[in-house]
Amino acid sequence: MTPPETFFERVRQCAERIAESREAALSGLYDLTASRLLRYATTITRNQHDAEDALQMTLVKVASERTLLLRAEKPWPYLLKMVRNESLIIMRRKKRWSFLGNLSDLLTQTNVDEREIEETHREVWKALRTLPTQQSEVVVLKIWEEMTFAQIGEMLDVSPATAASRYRYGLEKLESKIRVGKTEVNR
Amino acid sequence: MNRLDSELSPDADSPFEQAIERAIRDAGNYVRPSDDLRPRVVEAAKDQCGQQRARRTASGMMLAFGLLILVATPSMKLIADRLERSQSPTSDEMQQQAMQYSLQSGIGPNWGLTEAFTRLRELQADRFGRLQATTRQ
Repeated sequence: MTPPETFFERVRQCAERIAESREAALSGLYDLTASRLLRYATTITRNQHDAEDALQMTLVKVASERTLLLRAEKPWPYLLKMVRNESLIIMRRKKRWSFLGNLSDLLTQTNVDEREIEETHREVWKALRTLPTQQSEVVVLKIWEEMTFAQIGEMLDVSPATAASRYRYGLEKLESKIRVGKTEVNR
Repeated sequence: MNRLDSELSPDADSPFEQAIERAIRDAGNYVRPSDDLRPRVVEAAKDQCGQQRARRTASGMMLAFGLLILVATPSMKLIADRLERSQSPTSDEMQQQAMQYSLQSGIGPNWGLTEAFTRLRELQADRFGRLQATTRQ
């Protein structure tokens, strides 16, 4: 994975390009951030289609208000926050808080020779969906986005201690659900 | 990981937690955006920006039109007044008026002409006065 500092800088560069040439530069930002924004939004909406809608609305806002991202002190956390807000708006509108037992909505990428690994991935995604959003989003921000609890706290408007305890509870719950993890350790 | 993170994060030595963190990290790239999302996003952004540009152009034109009306109305009045002021009677008209005054008042044609010019000057002075008042407003 790209080191966070480099990634942050690349997002800032994209923000500068968007400020200069608006929607023409949006493709660059999409290519750089779409997968990461999507997986975060999917964690919140628990449905990929809704997450894609949230992502689309976020990026359209970024393009239509050209200096929005550039004005942000930290463009990447700001973008994550934007996609979070859009996801929550969609969730509120659809009131689809019920847990989706299957992962049929997910579009996935796995090589043919990685079927075993895919099982683990599915376990993880399934387990993440069983967590309360408050916990699952802290887990993904911490692990996937490699953010510190201070950064997570700042982004979610909670204290670092709250972010850490949500992470701890989340991970404890995941421990009991991700069987593959234990198998790996016992091996 | 900073000091706060080392203090607050769960026991990093726990092998279970390490394995779970690893499993979650590995699953991060499992989900991918659908193939049509990129063109959809770019198209939606283009539409949105196009609409914004159209709205801005329309409001700019409205503003320009409003300004034009604002400036044109007094200007038109000014021009009309100036035209009115510059429309002096012809020599034939002056002659006719002189004849009328002469016949009405029983005075000679020369005095009739003098009377016609006196009235014309009064009329021009009156118009000029009104024009100045309008300009001052």
